[in-house]
Amino acid sequence: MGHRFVLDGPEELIAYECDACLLIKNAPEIVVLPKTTQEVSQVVSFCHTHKIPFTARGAGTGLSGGALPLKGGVLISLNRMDQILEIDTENHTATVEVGVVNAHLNQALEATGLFYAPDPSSQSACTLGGNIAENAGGIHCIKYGVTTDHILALEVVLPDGKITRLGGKTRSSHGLNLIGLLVGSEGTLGIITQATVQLTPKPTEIRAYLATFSTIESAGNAVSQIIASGLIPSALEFMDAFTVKAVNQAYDIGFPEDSEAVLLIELDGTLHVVLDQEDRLMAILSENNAQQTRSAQTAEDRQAIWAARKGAVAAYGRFQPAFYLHDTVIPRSELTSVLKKILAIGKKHQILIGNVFHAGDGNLHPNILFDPDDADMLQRILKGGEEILDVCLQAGGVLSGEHGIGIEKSKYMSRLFSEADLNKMKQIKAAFDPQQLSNPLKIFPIRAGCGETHLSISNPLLTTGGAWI
Amino acid sequence: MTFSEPSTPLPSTNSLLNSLKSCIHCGFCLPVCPTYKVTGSEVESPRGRLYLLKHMLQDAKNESDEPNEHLQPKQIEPHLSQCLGCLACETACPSGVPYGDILHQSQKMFLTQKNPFIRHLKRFFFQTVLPNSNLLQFGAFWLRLYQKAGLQRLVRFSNVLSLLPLIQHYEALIPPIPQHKPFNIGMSFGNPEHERVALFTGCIMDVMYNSVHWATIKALVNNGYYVTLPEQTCCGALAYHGGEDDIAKKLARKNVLSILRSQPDWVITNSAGCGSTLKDYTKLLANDGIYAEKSRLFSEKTVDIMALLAKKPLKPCRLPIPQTVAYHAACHLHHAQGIINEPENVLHQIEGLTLLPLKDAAFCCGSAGIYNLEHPELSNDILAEKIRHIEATQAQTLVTGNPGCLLQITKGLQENANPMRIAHPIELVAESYSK
Repeated sequence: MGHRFVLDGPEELIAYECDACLLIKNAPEIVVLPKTTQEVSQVVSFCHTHKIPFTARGAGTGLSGGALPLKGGVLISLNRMDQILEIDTENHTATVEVGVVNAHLNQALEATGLFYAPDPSSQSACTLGGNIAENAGGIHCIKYGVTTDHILALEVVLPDGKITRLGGKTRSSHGLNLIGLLVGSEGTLGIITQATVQLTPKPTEIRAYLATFSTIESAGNAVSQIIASGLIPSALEFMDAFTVKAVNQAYDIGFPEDSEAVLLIELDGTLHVVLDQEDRLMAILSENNAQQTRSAQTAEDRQAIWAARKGAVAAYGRFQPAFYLHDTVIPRSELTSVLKKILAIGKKHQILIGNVFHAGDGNLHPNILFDPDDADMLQRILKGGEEILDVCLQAGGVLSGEHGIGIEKSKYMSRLFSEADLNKMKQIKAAFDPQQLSNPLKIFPIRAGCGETHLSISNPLLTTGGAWI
Repeated sequence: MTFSEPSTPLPSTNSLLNSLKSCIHCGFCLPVCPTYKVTGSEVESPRGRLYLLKHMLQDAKNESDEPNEHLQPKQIEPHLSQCLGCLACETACPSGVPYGDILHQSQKMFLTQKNPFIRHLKRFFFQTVLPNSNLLQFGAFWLRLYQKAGLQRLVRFSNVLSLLPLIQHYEALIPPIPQHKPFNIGMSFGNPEHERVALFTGCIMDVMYNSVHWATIKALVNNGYYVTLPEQTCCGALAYHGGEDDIAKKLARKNVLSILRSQPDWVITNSAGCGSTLKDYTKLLANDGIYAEKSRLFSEKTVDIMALLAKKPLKPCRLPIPQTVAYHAACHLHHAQGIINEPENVLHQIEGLTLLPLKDAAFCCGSAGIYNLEHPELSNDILAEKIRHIEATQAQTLVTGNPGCLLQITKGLQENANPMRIAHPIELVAESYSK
């Protein structure tokens, strides 16, 4: 692979000890930067033979610690595998190496009239491999679906180093749906090295709107009513007042700061369809007492709005050096009541919470801001975070909509799944990876005292029952 | 040769740690970082560099831990010194990390890690050679002679320097030194009744791209400005970026005093690197007595030539320029000064000229001051990326507003034997006023 692409200096390893989730850290023992599937296969074969754990990483923008090498071992960073191998405009597919940055694929598609729909907020930096591993979503997924709905074929290096290809350029339904299994498996079943993705024709008319509300309740009700009415906007996003302030500082975009909640809404389709939807949307907004409603005048304005929305979470860095966010999805009818409870939890524990999320999907993102150096604050945010999770799960929610379980949410898996369910999942994992080498200790809860005491990590997020390892 | 010992105060750990806290580790800076792009390593990315710096400073504070496991400055310094300082990460950063300031503070901190001989050589160059235009012209004269009299061809043909590979490497980097049409301090051009601009000529810019100054004067006079050439010296950019603040300050004070004395409405630069340093004088001289206020005034008046011309519609040109043109955005214009659309807006007004889009136009070309001398391999990898995109435009002319970029891209295109013309955008503006 060349010495230049193998990193083992102490400082080089430290740079890889976490991804965008700053709560849990562990450095790898070596980092490799392969350029080809064959190189990945050679590294994985070596690990298989010598029983060395390995973990794949893309751009390290993940929020659940998916790229964290919890058992050390080899970190396989795939960002140099960044070639777009084919764009097939007739069949509406693109075949890419997994290190391609999500936004770069869309830039390459600009002239084709097609686009790749899943657009996580980190789209300007995150890689498609990471998107596939975590089954990423994004603001446009309410209409176009999440990553798994767009994957037609995968090339995978299995945990024994063998290379296999699944799927083709068409949808298929023969045999077990292994592609469905691999998308969202968080690197625990092998390492995906190439993918063929489904592209979507760009709509001819796209319009974006901004509506402000004096209460969170009225904004939440507007969302519920939009969904109930049968409208399918291409985006329906919620921002609270605090987030608006952060975004305005970062992007100078001039979102109104005199309201409690802002909804960002996009409609797309043919002009005829959009005009019809617009009438219905405006009626619902005014019925729910929207204070003001604006529309983006130009395509540039619209793009600026979405760029600002996508930078919102990172813009919190202007207030605190780290954030801890949940990714629960709740029934959309419960939005208002859950949001109010989240705000009350923030008050109770004196923690700063910014809410910016995919309201149309019911996919909440309460961002709890904190300073990792403040031990007392850390305790408060962990406590508050747990209470938020309780509220969401009680409302019929699930743990993750698009960020994956990783290590940051694994402790809570047993809240959602029975022992029997988890065991079935573990059997599937064992069928792929009997030696438990591929991204070990992820997704499933780690039990205190179950032989993982060699870990140099002490973190309350890791273990069930609150016991520290 | 005398060495003056550096007197730069070290930055406080706490203030640096506070700046570092604004990095939330989101990774938005990765894809725009040229060194990350060519190495693939996060240690060579803004996020990685900031993370290591923070780690090191925190280790140093926690004396109770095991010190032999602490990260040491000598482990971090190489990765920070491989940073181009292009500041593309600042443009991409949603949480407003002051990367440029952090880099500058860390450069000062790491000065003691550098090879003392090289450091003193650089300091001599920064404070004795660059600010001395007579010395520069003297050197340029001999280099020009070496190139024109056929000696260079003889040296290169005979391959005699293969015995001295390091010298051969640097010999190959010497660009053709053009003829120089000198200015005299105190010269002025145009109607004294008009808005008064002081032209900042810089050091390297004046030796290598003296013709760009004449083009600047022509464009300014044709657009109703009165151009003066007050006494001045090197802007100090290389010293400043190298963390040698004491030298940069001396040069800054000289420039602020003598240029303000000419009572300009504007101080004009046509070099992105000089422009961004002149604007940074406010920071450099912030705690420097009477210079604090003066430097603020000076920095406010400083404007890049293309940004000044973009303020008003261009006066109608006399000669159409029927060329296809691609614009490379110099980092120190685009990222450091936020001058993004102005150059193209001005060029757009020239009759006959067609602007072609350049992919990743604001991605560094690898020049970055003396980076191409210090890190030739990385610099060449970054340049190759740039040249690939430039060639894909198939434009007749490539324009860019910084001498370093002009030199670097010229070298890249020459190596590919590409005959594309390379110019400063103001040269096209000036040509449009020819008869």
